[in-house]
Amino acid sequence: MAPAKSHSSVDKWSLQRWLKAHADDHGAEVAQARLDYMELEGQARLMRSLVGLTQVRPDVLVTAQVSGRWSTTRPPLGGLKTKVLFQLCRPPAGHYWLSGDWQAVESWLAALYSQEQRDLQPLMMGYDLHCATASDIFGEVIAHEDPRRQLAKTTRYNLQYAYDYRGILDAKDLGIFGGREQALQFAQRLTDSRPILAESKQRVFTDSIRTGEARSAFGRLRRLTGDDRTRAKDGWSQVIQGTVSSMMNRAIVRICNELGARLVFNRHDGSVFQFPMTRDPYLTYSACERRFRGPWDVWGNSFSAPSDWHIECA
Amino acid sequence: MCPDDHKPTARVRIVAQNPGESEVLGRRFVRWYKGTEGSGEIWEEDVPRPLIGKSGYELDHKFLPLAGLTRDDVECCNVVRCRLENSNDLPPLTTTMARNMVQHCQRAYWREPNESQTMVALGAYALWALTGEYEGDDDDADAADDDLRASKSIDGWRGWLLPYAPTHALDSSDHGRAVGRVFATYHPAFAWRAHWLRPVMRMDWMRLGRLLRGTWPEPFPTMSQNNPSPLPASIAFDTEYNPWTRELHRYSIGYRHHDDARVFVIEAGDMIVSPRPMPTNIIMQNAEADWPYLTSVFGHIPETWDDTMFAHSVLHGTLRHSLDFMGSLYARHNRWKHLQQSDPLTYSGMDALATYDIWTQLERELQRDKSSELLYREELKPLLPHVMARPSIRLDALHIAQAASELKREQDEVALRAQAAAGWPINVSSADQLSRWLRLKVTPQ
Repeated sequence: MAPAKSHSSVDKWSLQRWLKAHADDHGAEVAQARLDYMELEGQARLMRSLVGLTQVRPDVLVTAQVSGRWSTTRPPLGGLKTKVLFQLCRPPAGHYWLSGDWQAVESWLAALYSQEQRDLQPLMMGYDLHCATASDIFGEVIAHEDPRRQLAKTTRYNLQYAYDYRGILDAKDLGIFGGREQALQFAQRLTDSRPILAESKQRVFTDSIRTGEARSAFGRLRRLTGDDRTRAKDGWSQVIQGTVSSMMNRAIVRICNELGARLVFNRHDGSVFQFPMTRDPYLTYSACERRFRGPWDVWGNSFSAPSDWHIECA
Repeated sequence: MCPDDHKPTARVRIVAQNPGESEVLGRRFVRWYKGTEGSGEIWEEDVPRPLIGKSGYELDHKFLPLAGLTRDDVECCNVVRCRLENSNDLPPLTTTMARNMVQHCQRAYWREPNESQTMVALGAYALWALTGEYEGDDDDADAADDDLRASKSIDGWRGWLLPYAPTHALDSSDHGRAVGRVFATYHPAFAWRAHWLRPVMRMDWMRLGRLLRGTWPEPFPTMSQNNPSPLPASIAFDTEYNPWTRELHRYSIGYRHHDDARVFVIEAGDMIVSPRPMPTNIIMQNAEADWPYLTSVFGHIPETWDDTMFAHSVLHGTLRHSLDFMGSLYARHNRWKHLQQSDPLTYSGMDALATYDIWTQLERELQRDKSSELLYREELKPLLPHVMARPSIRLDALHIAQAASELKREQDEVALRAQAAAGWPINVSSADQLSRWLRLKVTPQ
């Protein structure tokens, strides 16, 4: 379900809209500070709710999101950054956690769906996708340490589900691009460098508007409502995000059933599993990694999904 | 001022909120047009009357036909008949001003309906004026919302039928004599803002058609308090338990035998686990909650099970999946979820029967959509044991305390950054100060 909107004109949505139109205005810095403050306040509230507790068992709702992704509440631990999460939460004595996250899985799926070679090639060769993107934007080879790589990454993520290159204006901080016009220029360059992906998205947009529904690679349905632009964006989002959620659900079931793991929690593109110390972590790690990797049959492609894993001990 | 539009032969009275500008001016929306020379709107002169603007157009063309009605079959009213400060917006129903305004206008202009008339309340103001209810405490509906939204909401009551109990006549002798029924649904204009609810609104109007034809709602069945034996192959099962201690208070079973509803509500102390033909399929709403009690009630885990929440989520992911909400779309009876305190027996029994009826509808939908059925059976259902087996998570108290103080420090830094940018000690946590600083008008969305 779509998020309920608050009514104050300084809620997150209104401020983001305001910033989009007034990125270079005098008040932009104050508005941005308010957004940052609100984000910190969300985390601070969570932290305050945990003070004094020795253990929690959050509620998970596998039906909460239309894409099929799960929600974790009471407390909403899924919203924490991985590093913070593992500082706060520890495995019980005699156990360890294996935490796995897919690498750039949504970019992979968009590339596979569209067969956009400009993305598929670096992904398949194991090159850094964001360096490749940065090279296309800036017209020169960009190294991993180059700060322009981060700009390219931000541009990519902001355009992932955008209707067109102007979606970059929804970026959290346009200041990092050096202003509104510059951000638009980067976004335009990235879009132009991937014409097959753009065309493929356009096809999904058209179908979503025409049929009023969209499905993931595994058949997860989203009924689309609203104006054409909303339907188009929601349709594309379902194709990609609905597919990730199904991959995740299936990987969880396989790891738990076949390896005897216990699911600790699931968040976004990753999950955490608990094993007893009696199980060799190197063996369980490679077995988990294999089950995350697949191969997954998506839109007629056999896709081996790369993932990062790390271990947390009691 | 926009007077009510009464028709002596109308079967249905549509009651809306307050008039739009076109309704006061007497301008009727005819249609949109799109041609080679561009697109636009066609309006024509009319007399001032309710629901002749774009909302009225939606009502006439998109919703009334679903109930088997035309504009000729209905009469239309508002509960506030003029425009407050020339705006469509009214103050929240929690305010005395809004309540006084509605009651004053109703006392002055409301004409009592005849006994055979069905009233349809469009939105919270109309529902409150006709029944004294609004919002409806739907569990999911208000969880993420703020107070203002809740105060203008009928999320819990939409799709249900209520007795007519006009608030403007609370102090008069007429109040007790009021007869009639009120069906609640969203105002048609709401579909433009909450477009994902348009299918829900369409189902409401279809339900109104069934109400007018006398096929909905069925009366509540008798709730048996005897241990059921024997049981058919497929039943719905629900439990009431203490969420902290997990102690079972009572359980309920609902099913249909040749379309006749059978409901059993058994208190935990009266429970008998006896050898009897056991159901092979058990239907639950949120199986995770009821699963721990299956063995103690039935003596074993059933061969197969279904979960209405899982099934609804794959078919209608954009909607809510609470039993109350699904009941408002699929249940064959009127609302029961508000009876938790006043009639716990009916509350529990109807949870089970409604779960059964909802599953019957969802199963048909799944059969028509094989992809969703596959997803439900092969992806969602296998998750349940692993969701239930999740361990508790140990917390590191020291790190939590450190993280809390670190976040506080970061917040203070952000607050100072805002003050430096503003040039005065603005309080970045104050919505009011921010709103003024940014010169944004506070407008409800």
